Amino acid sequence: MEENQEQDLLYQPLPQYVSEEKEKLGLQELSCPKDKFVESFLDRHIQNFKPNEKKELKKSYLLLDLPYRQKPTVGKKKNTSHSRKRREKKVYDIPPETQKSEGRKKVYDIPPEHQKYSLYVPLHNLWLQYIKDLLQVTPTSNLNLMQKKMLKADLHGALITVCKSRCPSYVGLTGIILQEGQKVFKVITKEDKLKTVPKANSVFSVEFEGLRAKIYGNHFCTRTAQRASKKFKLPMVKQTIDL
Amino acid sequence: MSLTLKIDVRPPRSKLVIEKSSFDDDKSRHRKNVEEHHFNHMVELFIPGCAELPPSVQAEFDRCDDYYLIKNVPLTELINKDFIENFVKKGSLYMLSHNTHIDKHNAYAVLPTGQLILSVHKDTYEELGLVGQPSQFNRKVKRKFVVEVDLTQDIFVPGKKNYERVKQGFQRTKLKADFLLSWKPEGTRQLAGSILSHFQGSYECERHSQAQQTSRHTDLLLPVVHSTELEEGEDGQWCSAREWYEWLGAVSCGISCNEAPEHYISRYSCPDPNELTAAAVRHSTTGFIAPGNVCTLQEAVRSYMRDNKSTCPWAALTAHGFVDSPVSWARREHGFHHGGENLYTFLIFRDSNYWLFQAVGTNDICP
Repeated sequence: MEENQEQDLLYQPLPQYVSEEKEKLGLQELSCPKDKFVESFLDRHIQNFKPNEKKELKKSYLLLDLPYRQKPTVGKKKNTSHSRKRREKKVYDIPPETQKSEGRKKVYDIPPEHQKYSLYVPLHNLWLQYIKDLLQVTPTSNLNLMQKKMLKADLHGALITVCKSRCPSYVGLTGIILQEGQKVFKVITKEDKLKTVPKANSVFSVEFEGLRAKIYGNHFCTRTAQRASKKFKLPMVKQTIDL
Repeated sequence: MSLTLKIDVRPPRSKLVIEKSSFDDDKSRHRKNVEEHHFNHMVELFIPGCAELPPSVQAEFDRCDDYYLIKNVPLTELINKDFIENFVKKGSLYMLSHNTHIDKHNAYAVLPTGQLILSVHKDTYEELGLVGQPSQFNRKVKRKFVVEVDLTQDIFVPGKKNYERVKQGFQRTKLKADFLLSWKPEGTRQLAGSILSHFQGSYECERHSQAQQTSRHTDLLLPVVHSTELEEGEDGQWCSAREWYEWLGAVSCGISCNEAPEHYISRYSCPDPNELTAAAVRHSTTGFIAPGNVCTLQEAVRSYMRDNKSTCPWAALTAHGFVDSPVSWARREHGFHHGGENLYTFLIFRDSNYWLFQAVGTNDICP
């Protein structure tokens, strides 16, 4: 709005008190075309003015600071080709983190030569140490408190067994958790096979410190980071452990 | 007392299949029918027109094999390699879990063809880890599952993946049951009792013989049937097959057919036309009867019918299956619903014609 007003001011006819005193101030109407006047004006006021510099002056902008680097053209093309896909994804309301991670997806893939059970045994030992420090199990320790801690514990490196599942072929699978997604565990088995087990409709059991914890996968469908801050409602009302 | 709160008002969809054939026919299914009905609880023979059971038939009844009851057998014992090699593969083995109600408990059966059939609950199925099919009878709410394990497969040996998986599943769930057992060795070299010694060391075993019962009727009204006509005669010369079957059921249940028309309990009367017979005998044997015994019994009745010059117009041989068996005929699934009946009746005529009645309840696949 202000700009508008300024513009208006600029192109308004001269105020009355000025136009009345025109002759006293020595103002007069231009007798030649406007650009000619500008040229001669510049000629008069700028030293060493060359007429071919006039073109440069006509450029309306000058970049004073360093502009951010332009994306290479290939990238641009990719963007356009994927734009439709992205739009579709927005419809499904996928959280932005997932969208972003799509580009770096391969970072988290475990190459086949690293899919060896023996490679991850140290990770399991580390996890055992971690859980020992976290829970500090003593014969008198409060089980309820321990449960709450266990809910928020990190499970990477835990040795897990599927003890119940709606799909019978998952039952009995044992391995070390390598990755935990929102809906799946990625597990490496003793046969050096990387398996992806969905959390939904399965019951898992984790053994540590001579205790066994059962994880009801249906209520565990959150990302690791979010789980730490999620409120698990206990006791579970209206929630079933049935698969 | 247990009361069912929700009453199913739909009429039970019981099925009755009647077929007419001759024993001499090459395509006759009588033998297959008997052999495929693996688990028989009771066999009943009704012969009108003779006061005593013929001795040749009585001898067959006496010759029925004994059966064994073995208690608390874990299922891992059934996939034991020695057991499979010595008994399942060398003879026909009939095993059925005892005191397990098919609609409440897990039920198991070993068929002579070498299949182990488990009819398990949803919770057990989820823990078992063996792939099966949901039960045919409650498709909407998947409460029961049927798992089949083929014991006679060549690759079903320790060390193989499938075998180990089955074993682990049984160990994890710790399934066990009491089993009724009957075994018929292939050759004559081995004795049927040797299977008992296999179990005797570690499990409680009981040997049972079939219980026999005879009842005699006098002055009984018999409906008249014609061996080649299943339907009712046009001018009322004979009864239809369904009427006859209903009458047989009434007789074997001990319902009197000539009460007064206003009788309080039963107003059932013998279908027209009928004829009076002086005496009739009904003999039944109860236990765990292998189909082989039923076959020989059938042969004995047939030869008696051929030779005998007495007045008996026909004989009826009925075999009742177990109500809680997981299968009825062959591998067809069986359920309880209201009665769990699965039975068949041979109506054997003098001219080697027969009628076969196969009756099943609601939760059963049509034979």
